[in-house]
Amino acid sequence: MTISSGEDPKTLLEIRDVGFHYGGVWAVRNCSFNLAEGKVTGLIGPNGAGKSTLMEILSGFLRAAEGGIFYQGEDVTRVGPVGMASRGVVRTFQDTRLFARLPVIENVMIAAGDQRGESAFRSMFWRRSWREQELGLRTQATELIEWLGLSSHIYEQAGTLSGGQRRLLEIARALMARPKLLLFDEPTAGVFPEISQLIATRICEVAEQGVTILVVAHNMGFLEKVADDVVVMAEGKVLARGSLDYVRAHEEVVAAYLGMPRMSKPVGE
Amino acid sequence: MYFILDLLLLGCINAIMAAGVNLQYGYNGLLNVANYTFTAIGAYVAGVLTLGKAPQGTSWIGGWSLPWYVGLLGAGVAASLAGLIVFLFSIRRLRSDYLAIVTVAAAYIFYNWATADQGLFDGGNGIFGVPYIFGGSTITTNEYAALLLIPTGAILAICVWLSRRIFRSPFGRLLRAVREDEVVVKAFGRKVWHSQLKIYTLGCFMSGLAGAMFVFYITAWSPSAFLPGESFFILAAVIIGGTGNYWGGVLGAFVVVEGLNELTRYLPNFGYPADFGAGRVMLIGVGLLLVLRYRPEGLFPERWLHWYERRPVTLPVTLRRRPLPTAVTDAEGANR
Repeated sequence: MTISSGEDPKTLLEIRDVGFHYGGVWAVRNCSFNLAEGKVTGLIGPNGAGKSTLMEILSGFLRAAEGGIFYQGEDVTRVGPVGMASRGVVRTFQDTRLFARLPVIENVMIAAGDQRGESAFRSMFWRRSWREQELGLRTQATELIEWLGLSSHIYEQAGTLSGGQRRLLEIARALMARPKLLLFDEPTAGVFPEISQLIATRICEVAEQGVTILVVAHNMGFLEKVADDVVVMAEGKVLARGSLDYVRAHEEVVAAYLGMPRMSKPVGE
Repeated sequence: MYFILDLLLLGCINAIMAAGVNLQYGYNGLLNVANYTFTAIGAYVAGVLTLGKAPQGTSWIGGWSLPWYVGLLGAGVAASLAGLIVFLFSIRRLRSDYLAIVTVAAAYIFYNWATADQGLFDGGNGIFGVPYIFGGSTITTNEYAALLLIPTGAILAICVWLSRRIFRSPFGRLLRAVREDEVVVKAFGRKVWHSQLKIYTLGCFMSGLAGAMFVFYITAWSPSAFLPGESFFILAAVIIGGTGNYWGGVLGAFVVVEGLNELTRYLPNFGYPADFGAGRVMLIGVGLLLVLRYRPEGLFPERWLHWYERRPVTLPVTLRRRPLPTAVTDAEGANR
């Protein structure tokens, strides 16, 4: 039985029996778990477990074929990416997706919501209405870029950055949107350990400010630093949830990762 | 003298078209292969609004002898509306890559419609005798071209000025972000097609204005003036000049359309005249290939316009914020 959304005041997002299939092949099925407000939850699982598909569903890019998603008590199962973003759900991508020909600072500034200067009329004929806001955003973006150690690249085209710098820029861009729920899809994939360390530190600092974070990662050392608890997925389902030590010792998790036959022990915390 | 005036005037008209295409393709990545069709719509509408009743044996709609500036505005509005229809048929349903195909279809549909429908713009014969907008019937062609250069140059200046304003604004940033990656823009809560619709119709408006000035200059318009292949030259001008750079289109229009087209007149003649014309098109094609190979960003790359690099942030103290992350530090934060 699932908990009704809204009963637990600390639940920001509830995923209830969610399922999604690609042409008949179920990538996610009967997937249920909650995200507590202000916590960092790790999402791990072997390749093909459905983690990235779940991220797509949560950010509104894919629509769940069954089950429901409740965000702050509201049913958002059928809400698209624009609607999710306007509710404060912001994501990064597994393969970094930047605006390659835009400078780093513009990549960050674009993420801020409610920009008055995005009106075509104002942009051409009424600059005074947005100029101050623009300067404020520019200062914020500059500070964010400095905070993530990219200040020497601030005016470079994003396409010229290295893999680790791209990850940092994606994080800066996501934070510029003032998220309530951050979905990180493998933020340290292919990243130099020092930058991975910086990312972990920054994620912890952001979480301390009260942002709820769901982070997909394969790097257990990274998750140890950032995650309050971990959800393990395999074959589209949740296998286990708990502390990293707990899931490490979980027989079904070990079996899923190492490809051994399943144990009959019931799944759960 | 007339040659120079003609060169400048046609250069300005082509540059207005290029400014419109640059907004669509350079800023937003919308490949409008029918850009010349919107110019033609502008030319026809400006023509029939300023012309009188069709003489015996011909027929066209309108014929209200309105002032030229009404014709100019009507041309822009008609081209925008046509652009809106094409856009709604394509973008809302298809990915923007397919807009190119839809615009080619639209170009052929309009071309065949204008050719076949005698009642619309007199079919294949087209409209003729569009009145001079200055000087009446006493003015010489030379004087008229010189006078027409003033409003045409002014329209070009306004188009470039608007392009510059858009480029430097958050709207321009949004357009360029959409060009780079629509998916990410959606992930940050923007309705991508809203900005695409606005810039597409604005680009078509500019093409319509160019068409109006064209018909005011040559005083006639017919289907032979806007063969669907003509759009290629404007696209080539924008790509060679530099996509995304508002000066690039202008430069491209003068260098490619005027420069290559007109200066090749001085090349030694060979073979049939048709061969010579084909040779010019081939020359533009080779130029396009060379630019794409050796300078893919064009002669004036967009990155040259990163103006803010040289501008220090000068903010009033009241606007300064606390150190980031700001994500949840204000009243609208995540703890709410």
